[in-house]
Amino acid sequence: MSSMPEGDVLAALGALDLFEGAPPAVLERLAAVARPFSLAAGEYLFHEGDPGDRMMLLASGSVEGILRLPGGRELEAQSLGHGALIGEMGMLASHPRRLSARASVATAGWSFAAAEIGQLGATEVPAVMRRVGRLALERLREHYELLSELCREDPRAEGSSRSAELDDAGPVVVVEREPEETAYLETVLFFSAFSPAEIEELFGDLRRLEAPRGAPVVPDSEQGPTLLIVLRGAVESSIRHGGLATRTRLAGPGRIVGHLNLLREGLTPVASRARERSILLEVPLDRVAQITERGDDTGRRFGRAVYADVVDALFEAQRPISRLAAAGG
Amino acid sequence: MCRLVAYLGEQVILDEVLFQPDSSIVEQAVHPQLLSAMNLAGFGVVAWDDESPSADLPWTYRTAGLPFFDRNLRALSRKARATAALGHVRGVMLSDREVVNEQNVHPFQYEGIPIALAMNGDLDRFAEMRTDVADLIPPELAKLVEGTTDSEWLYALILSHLSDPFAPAADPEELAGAVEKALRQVREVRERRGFQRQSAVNLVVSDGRCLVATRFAFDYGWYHEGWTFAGGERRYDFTTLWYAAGTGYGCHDGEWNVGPGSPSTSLIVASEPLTLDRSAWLEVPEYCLLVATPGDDRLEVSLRELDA
Repeated sequence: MSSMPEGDVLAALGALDLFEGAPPAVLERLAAVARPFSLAAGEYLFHEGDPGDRMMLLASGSVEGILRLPGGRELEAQSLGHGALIGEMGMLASHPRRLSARASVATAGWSFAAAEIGQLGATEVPAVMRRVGRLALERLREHYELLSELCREDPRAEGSSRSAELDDAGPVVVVEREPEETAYLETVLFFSAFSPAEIEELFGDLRRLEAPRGAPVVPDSEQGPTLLIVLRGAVESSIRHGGLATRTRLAGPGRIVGHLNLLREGLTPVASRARERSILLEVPLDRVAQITERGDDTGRRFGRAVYADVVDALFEAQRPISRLAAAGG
Repeated sequence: MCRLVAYLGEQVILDEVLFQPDSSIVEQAVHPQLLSAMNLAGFGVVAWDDESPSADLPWTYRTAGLPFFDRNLRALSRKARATAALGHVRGVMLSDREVVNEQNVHPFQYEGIPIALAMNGDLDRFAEMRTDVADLIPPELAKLVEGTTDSEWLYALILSHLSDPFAPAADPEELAGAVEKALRQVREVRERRGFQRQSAVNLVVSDGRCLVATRFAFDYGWYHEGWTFAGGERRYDFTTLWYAAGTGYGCHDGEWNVGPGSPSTSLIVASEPLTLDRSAWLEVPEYCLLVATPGDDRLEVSLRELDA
């Protein structure tokens, strides 16, 4: 075993970009619940599939993120060292670990329970949530880029590849809200975070679109000015390569299409089409900003619901990565 | 909803597939990991053994009883060898309209036909579609239908697309084509009838030499009235299907599974992984068809989009 982390946990927390602008009292409370850990080279911090209920801050050493593949092979996905945070996505949504984390040399740091981070108020600081959300979006874009690369490396791209040709579907049209829509939405993920009055206030005046089966809903390589939330049906997002397409996500009811638009920069490598006839809620990015910046509880719940969906998309994007990496070996 | 498992490859003792894995099909009947609840309505297994008499034809064991209380099944499975098998635990809606009997237990396999089918899914309002589907099936096959399930009618519909359903060893591509054609016909019937609620159709079909599986749904995302997916179960609203392919089925690192080698000589397809460590498993993508074709000394496993 290596020694316990050296240095001051409060200083280490304060040095994180993530917590810039957070009230000192919040960081002090966090420092008070930090649990030190140390690992010898080769020891695991956690395994894929373990509950993602803790965040870790590395004081020294280095940790590699590993994706285990069928056949006992491993794909090293990332390597993190001094001052790095691990598992901060747990602040947004509780998911099992996507990767295993193994110390490549003697490593030490502190760990924090995700539940405590919330209770101590860190997730109530809008700037902190915005930054961790942005981090999730950037990771999503990295995932899509990695997938793009894997697809290029293996043109056979075994997996969910299909012909990239889209059916000649009819146009996407604006439709009326269905009767009893709010009662239905209350039972659907994302919307279940809001009361009927809030659903009406936040989304009541927005446009509903109907996309026939096969219709493209987000054009290639273009930053649309909206997010689309699936109300009924399903939209699939794919990365195209050669004449094939590999699905990165199938978004059913309560799922968002076009997350990367929130970054408001760069090109998105994914294209989306309605896999089933779908009803979509069109949320302009200005509305997203307006809701998240109002600073009340509703706005915070909205932000959390959006980012939780980004984390979900990250998980889904990992499935074809595993499949392609397994096939490529 | 049901649970299913399919095995194809090197010879195994049936117990090693049905009972031994940590999250075996029998265990899943009581403690499914990817499902919130199940109303149990029977268990069945169909198995082929290359070394048995009339090796093209499987033997079947079907009961409306429950597998974990079934000492006969346990005793039999410890002795029976198999080179291919389909196992199925039937789950039904909590409704007095469900028919729970032996005729409705999967897998379906008619006398003299080497092909068997098991399904994890549910065609919405099937009772209203039954006559439409029956009209698509030649009388000599339709007369063999004994039960009331959507799955058995789908089985007969798929058989009706084979040039000779009684012939041993189907061509995997012919079998895959028959599944696709049958699903397209069901879509047409649904469209004609105006049925548009989500209906899962996860199938495994095998003749003991090749295997075709689907992870598919009609109108995914058009929930039934009263379905709520606001909770954790929402992750599994598209009925799940997983597979593991490798060399040599056995106990590896304390868990029963295919071995890590390649090329693959054994394949397991299941509603959910049979082992707690999921690293050997891959999820069959939604709207996909998996085809396993035997080669000289290997199994070729391929996935493709199912655009039915």
